[in-house]
Order: sequence, then C-alpha cells, then structure tokens
Amino acid sequence: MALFNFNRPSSNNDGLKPIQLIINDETIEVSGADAAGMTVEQLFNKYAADSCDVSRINRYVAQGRIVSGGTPAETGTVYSGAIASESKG
Amino acid sequence: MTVLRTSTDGCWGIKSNSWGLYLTQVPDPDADTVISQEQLTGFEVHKDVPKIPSELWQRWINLCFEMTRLDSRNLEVSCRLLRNEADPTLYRIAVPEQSVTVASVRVDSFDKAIDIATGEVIEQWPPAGWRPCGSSHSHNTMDSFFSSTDDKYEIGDPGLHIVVGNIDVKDNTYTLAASVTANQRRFLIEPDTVLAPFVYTELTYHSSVLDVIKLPKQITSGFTSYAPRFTTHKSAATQDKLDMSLIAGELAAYNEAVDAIILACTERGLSPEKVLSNLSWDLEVKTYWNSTPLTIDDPFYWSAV
Repeated sequence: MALFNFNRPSSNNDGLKPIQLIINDETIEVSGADAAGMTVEQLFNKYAADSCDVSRINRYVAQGRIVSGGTPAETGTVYSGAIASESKG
Repeated sequence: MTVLRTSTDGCWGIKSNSWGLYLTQVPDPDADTVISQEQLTGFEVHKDVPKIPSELWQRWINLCFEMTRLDSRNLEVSCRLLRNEADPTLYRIAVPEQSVTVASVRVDSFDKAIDIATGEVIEQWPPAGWRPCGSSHSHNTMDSFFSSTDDKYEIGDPGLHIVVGNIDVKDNTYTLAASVTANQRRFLIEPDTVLAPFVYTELTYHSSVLDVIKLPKQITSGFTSYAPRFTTHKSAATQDKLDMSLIAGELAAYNEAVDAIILACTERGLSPEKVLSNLSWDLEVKTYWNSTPLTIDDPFYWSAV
C-alpha cells in the first residue's frame, strides 16, 4: 500500500494561510499546503489555467511590486498576474 | 470502498484487480445537486453590478466614430476597461498603443496607454489601484460579433468584452455585442445590463489617444501591375538597393500565380482589376506587419476576421 498511502485530513486544514491569485477580476484561492514549494508562475499555471490563458501573463505583482515568476510563493500573499498584449479581429 | 475527496481533482476510490491496485474516479456519495444544461452554460449578471457610466462610454463610442470618419477603410480600434480596486463603481477606459488595419488591431504592450478621459499616460500596466476588467473594440461599419481572433484573445482574458459595430456616421447609429469571459468560456449578455442608460454629453475622447493609434499606410495607386513592374513603383534610389534577382525563383512563382488568378477571373466573370486590388490590401497589411515585428513572444501572430 506504499503507493496509495494517503495523508489525511486534507490540505485545507493545515493551518497555513492561503495564497490568492488574481487575474483581472477573477480571484483564485490556493491553500497554503497546496502552494508549498511552488513558484508564483507554477501556481498560476496550475490553479489559474481554468480562468485565463496563463501563457499570456507577462507580469506578476505582489503588494504593488513586480515579482519574477520564479519567485517562491509565500503563504498569505496576494499575487496578481497581468496580461499585457492582445489582438482583435 | 473508501472515497478520497480531493479539492480540485474530484472523488477517487482505490480499486483492486487480480494484478494490483489503482485509483479510479467514483461518484461523490454526498452529491446532492442536479445541474441542468441551461444552468451549466448560462450566465446571470449581478443585478447590482456597477454599470459603466454613459459619460465615459460615450467618449469611447465617439472615438469609434472618429476612426470611421478618419479613413474610408474599415479600420478597427481597441480599448481596455479598468475598475477601481477600492471603489468598484469607478471605471476608466485606456487606449493602448496599437496598430490597426481593416481587419485587426494589434497591441504589443499595454504599458503605453492613454486614459481616454484625461489623456494621462499609463506607463505600467495595470496602473496602481486599478484592475483590468475587460476590453472593447470597434468593427467599424462591419457587424458587431466576436471573431475567431477575438475568441483567441478574449476567452483567456477574463472580463467584459464588447464589440462596437455597424457604425453609421450619417445616422449616428451603431450596434453592440457584449459578453463576459470566464472559466475559458464566453457568455453573451445584453449590453444594457452592464452599460448605464444613455445620457447626452458634450464630453468626448482626449485628443492624445489618436497619437497612439497607428494607421496602415495608404496605397498610393491601384494594383494594376504585378511583379515585373513591382519595382517601377519605387524610386531609383530604392531600386538600387533592391537586388530582385535574389528572389528570382519566388518572383517567377508569384507571376505564375498572378497570371493564374487573372485567367481564373476572366473565365469566371470576375473583374481581375478588382480582385488584384483586393489582394493588394493584403500585401499592404503583410508588408506593414513584417516591418513592425512583435516586441514580445506572442504565440498568436496574425489572423484576420
């Protein structure tokens, strides 16, 4: 049973503050445990892909400052992703 | 069977067969809701959603009309909508630096944008204290609808997206198509659920927005000649720098293709002059984009309506 040895309870009850990901008007909350060890870009790629085209995010902002996508995500932080180009037809 | 309930990956159970164990998706034993197809695909606008004020929206509509008056070609134009973070009832409209053609708008970066009301230059997108909440673009005299290019760029850009079309500068009329994109889907909505009722105003767009809208170059003559005479349109100085022999093979193929088009037009009752003239617009647009490379790594380079 080594492969299917699940640790419970779920990661929502880990006591870590969640991380908020914002893209335009959409907000996605990720539990602190789910975000552990992930970079900002990895978080957006995993948790914001249902909400937006993450490949078009070219800037991440936390507390008013631009941060690199490779920055390790910190629990309790709000990260915004900005889409900054477009075409219309 | 023990049910494993995950936060984003659904419910799973451990199954066993004669060879071993594996996970399989199972129904949620605590499921208590049936969702209809209409509910699954529908969208309900908040009754108390802050509407975009008419005084602000009219500035944008006036710019769309001005673009129609400026050029007899059906030039498009695009803007971005911003919502105030502290007071979500406040909106701004920003016109980013853009290149427009008869069938498209391209914005390489929102980092240079002009506030349509004040003329303020926005140098970093999004401006502090404001959150992007959608976009609008004009289809000029063409119908208002969401093209495949619009889908490509708007469905992954959550927010309100509105197309202004059927602009008639004589009758002062236009039509709108409005939508909200979310969850990588587009939901069509009635424009008046998000736009405040029309109020007449003398206010219009700030004149500096015109400075960031790059128009396509004008064609100075009809396209009645093709490759062999292509260079005769150039000045002598330009010809000296162009060694057309370097693309002799491609030019020969081009000439053959044009000859084939002329023949086909003649056989099928089309005007070769009109067809070649239409094609010349495509050439003009391609020439323009080739001379204006993208400044970012953009996976979607070009597509027409």
